[in-house]
Amino acid sequence: MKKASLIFSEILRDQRQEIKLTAAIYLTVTVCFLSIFVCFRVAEKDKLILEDTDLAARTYPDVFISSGEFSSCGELYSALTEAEREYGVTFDGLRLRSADMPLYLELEGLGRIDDSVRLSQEGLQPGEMTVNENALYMGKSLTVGDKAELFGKSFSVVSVENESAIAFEELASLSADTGSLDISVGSIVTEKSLSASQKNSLKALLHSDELISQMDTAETENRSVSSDQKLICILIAGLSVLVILTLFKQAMLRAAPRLGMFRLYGAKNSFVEAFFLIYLLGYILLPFAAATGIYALLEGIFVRFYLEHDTAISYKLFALTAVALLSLIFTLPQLVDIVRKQPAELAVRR
Amino acid sequence: MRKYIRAALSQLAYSPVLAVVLCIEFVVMMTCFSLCYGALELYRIRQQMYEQNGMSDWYYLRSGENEALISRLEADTGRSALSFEYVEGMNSDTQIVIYSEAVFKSLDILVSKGERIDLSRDYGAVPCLITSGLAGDYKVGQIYELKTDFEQRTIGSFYICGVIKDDVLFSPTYGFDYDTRHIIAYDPEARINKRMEQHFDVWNASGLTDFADKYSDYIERNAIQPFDYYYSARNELERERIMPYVLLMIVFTTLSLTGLVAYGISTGVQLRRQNALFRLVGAKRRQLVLITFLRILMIVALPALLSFVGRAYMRTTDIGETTLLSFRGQLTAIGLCFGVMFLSSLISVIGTGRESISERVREM
Repeated sequence: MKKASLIFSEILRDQRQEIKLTAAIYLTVTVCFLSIFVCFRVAEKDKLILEDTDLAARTYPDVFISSGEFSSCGELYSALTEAEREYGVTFDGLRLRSADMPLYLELEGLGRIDDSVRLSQEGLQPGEMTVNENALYMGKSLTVGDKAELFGKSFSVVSVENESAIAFEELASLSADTGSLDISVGSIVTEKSLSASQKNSLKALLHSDELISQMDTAETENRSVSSDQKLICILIAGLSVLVILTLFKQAMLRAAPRLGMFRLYGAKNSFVEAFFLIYLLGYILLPFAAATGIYALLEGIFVRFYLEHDTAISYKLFALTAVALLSLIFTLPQLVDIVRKQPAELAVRR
Repeated sequence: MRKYIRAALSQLAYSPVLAVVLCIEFVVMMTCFSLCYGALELYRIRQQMYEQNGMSDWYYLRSGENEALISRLEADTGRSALSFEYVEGMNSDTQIVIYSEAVFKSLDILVSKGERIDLSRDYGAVPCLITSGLAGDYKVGQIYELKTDFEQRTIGSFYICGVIKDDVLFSPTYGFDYDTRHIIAYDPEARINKRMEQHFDVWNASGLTDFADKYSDYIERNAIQPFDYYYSARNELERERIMPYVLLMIVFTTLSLTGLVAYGISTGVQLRRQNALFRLVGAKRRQLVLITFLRILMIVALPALLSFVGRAYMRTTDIGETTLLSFRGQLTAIGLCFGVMFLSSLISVIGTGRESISERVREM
């Protein structure tokens, strides 16, 4: 305890004597840490933050079903219902489009585009359909009560809305060429998280190229953000380590005569080592604490700069560890050199 | 001169590590300045174009039956619609847009090189304005026959009138786009061999006080859509994109300044002593200033050079395609680095008076 208080009092005395140098080191290292934190926060802006991770792990967006792999619409329908039954799948935005579709849209500048038909799982009875208000059938727009024939099946228009739709069950009775069908799904949500083998079975059942959950996509995106953050951290940490090393070397040289005095009074090498290690860690820990405090105070300013997502404490600790480790690695040889020197070499002459 | 350079180099050798740190910080700071200044400059130009052209009175015509609507508007007001026609360019990166005469009369297009299109002049080819990404390939005042890269299909003969300032173009999506590979043509005689054309129309209602009331039914169902409809939302998105860059610029400027302070304190004592020695052996203050000037020039010139290389590289990346990398911003950063360093050194040199010389000599 006595030894520790002696070390602290000596460090304080030394820093008071070299007030400009000490202030420069503290200021520079604090700004370095603050810069690292801000860079982390800017990189965090591109991170995908999921509110419900469980739902994200069960949600597979933009699923493409290779309808050509099915011999008929009936088989396709069976596969979709089996997916519902076996895996608790809910299809969101299940749509059907085909070059043979008699419904189309005329868009200015783009010409004729085939209208897509949503396969609605609720609200519509067999034989009923809703039509897009801009859709044309045989060159004419449809109104309520009109009849339209889609893939060999007659439908009665029950309402004019912002999209065309038929009941999901009707898919089984359509006589469309599956090779020309384009079945798209906005997203599918499973009841429970799927194991790898279940995912493969579902993929095979739907003849889908790939099933990537929202969670997997977010993890891939965030991995690249995280590697950017680490790169920035290493760059600025490298700069701050260089500053610490250069200024600390000067501080060591200026503290050398005092160390010589310690040695004359019989201080052991361990005392000198402890003195310098505490000296060095003080130059890292105090600015880190100051930067963390200032960063917390600047929260309102970050929001004004559209940086709303905070950085995880683990990243800040990563920065601290990187700076501390690099500083220690590069300072140790000098420290050992000073510890081995005789008092006369440490400029104690009087 | 050689002795001054040698003296400047000996001063740099006092703290080579910190000099390198400072150089790295300066490079990052200059690049950030270029990026941030460019983004802010684009924002300012967009605002300026909006105000200068009175775009709060502009309306997009979004109806599926534009021709009937335009005929009605023209009959009611005696004006023409502003027509923008997109045709297939040389490749997927290069767009050609044909502006109607009314557009050139309503929209103030600024050029950085060459001249605006003179609507009454016969250029012997289709007159056009290009953006900076094409300015390297096509010279102002020359006629070029443009072909598609893929099929070598001739698009037409184009006379390059000028280069559009800062690559800011009127957009079909509520505002202004930044595009470095864009051609704006004036083709009243339909000389361009068009394919895959798309077009949109805009109505300039400036001076028509009752326009909004008279066509309120069209405006309500978005057949006539005010330019302001999403403009503020788009501006908000732009601000959201720019502000983090601004913060990074502030952070790296602070980092450079603290690096400068550390460098100053680390080398200050030795510099003052050396200056005192120089004065003792008869050097004049202006000679010390010259040595200081050379030292700072060396420490700023290398980062400046590197930042120019960095900027040239960034122009080829995604950032360069979506954001203006401002040369002016880079020069400001270089000036700032040089100015602050020179000022602090000058104060140190001026402080080398007779009394301080004896003080430094006693120290040594």
